[in-house]
Amino acid sequence: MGFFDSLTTSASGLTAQRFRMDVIANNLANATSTHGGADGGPYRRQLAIFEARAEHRRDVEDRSVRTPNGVKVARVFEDESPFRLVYEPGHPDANPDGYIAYPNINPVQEMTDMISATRSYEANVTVINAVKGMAQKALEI
Amino acid sequence: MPFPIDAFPSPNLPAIPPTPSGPNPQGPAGFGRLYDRLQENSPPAMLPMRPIQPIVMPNLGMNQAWVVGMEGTVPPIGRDGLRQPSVGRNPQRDPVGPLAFLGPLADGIQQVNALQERASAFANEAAIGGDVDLHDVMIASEEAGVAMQVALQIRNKLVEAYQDINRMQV
Repeated sequence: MGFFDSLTTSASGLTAQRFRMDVIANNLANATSTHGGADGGPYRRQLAIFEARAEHRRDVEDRSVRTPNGVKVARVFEDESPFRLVYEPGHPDANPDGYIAYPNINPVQEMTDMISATRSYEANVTVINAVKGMAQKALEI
Repeated sequence: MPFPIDAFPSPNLPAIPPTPSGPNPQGPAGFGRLYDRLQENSPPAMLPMRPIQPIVMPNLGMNQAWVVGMEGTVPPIGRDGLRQPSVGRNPQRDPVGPLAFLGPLADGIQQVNALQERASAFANEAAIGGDVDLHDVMIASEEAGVAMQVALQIRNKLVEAYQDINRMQV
């Protein structure tokens, strides 16, 4: 991979972590949304599943090879763990037993994921800076 | 003196992403743009740019003037929105002989220029609050800067070689 290709790989990593942060932000914003999920139910916690992306290129002998090319989002997965039931009989969204189903979002877990996404983003930025430093050094030859 | 034809590699960064245009069947609502950007073989979009002016070489002892970067039409735009090198596509019209390095040189200059234009287009999109990621803006400007540094070093080497030859005693 040339200089520009390694920047593409890191750029995809940055975009992936931004995407993951968007998902986390959406989860935290909808932590008490009792509408808007699939089937009109409460919001379900979402996760981003990443996958290694590869590109088909031709190597020096003109064979088609898969070279690694960063990360892509495989899919956004909805967590199937049960909703959090809270007893509030007067609420319009309460079921006949008086329980409301709140989204299955644990704020502590979301904050941990957020820290992880931030650190991954910073790691990718460090890689870009290191590659840039290598290129500058090469130009001193 | 070997001319480093690979000094101006064709960068493969994705072009500026399109403004939201229609439903995204694969991604969830609201995540469309970033989701699309990360898929394999996502289609690149081009910002409308000024057509690159062809570099016309005067008649330098060859049969007719030839235009660098043209073979009847502007060289094709690759996946990344930048023009692919035109040397080698049409062997009849490629310059040969003592001026053979002018083809890759002009291609290189056009690629550096294209990278600069791309970086400034990204910066404009970010400045007007468009749908563009900040890290893409920074990476594009960094690439443009590095390409310019490479072009500068190549120029230095060429000038140094020319001066070395000039200094030779007759």
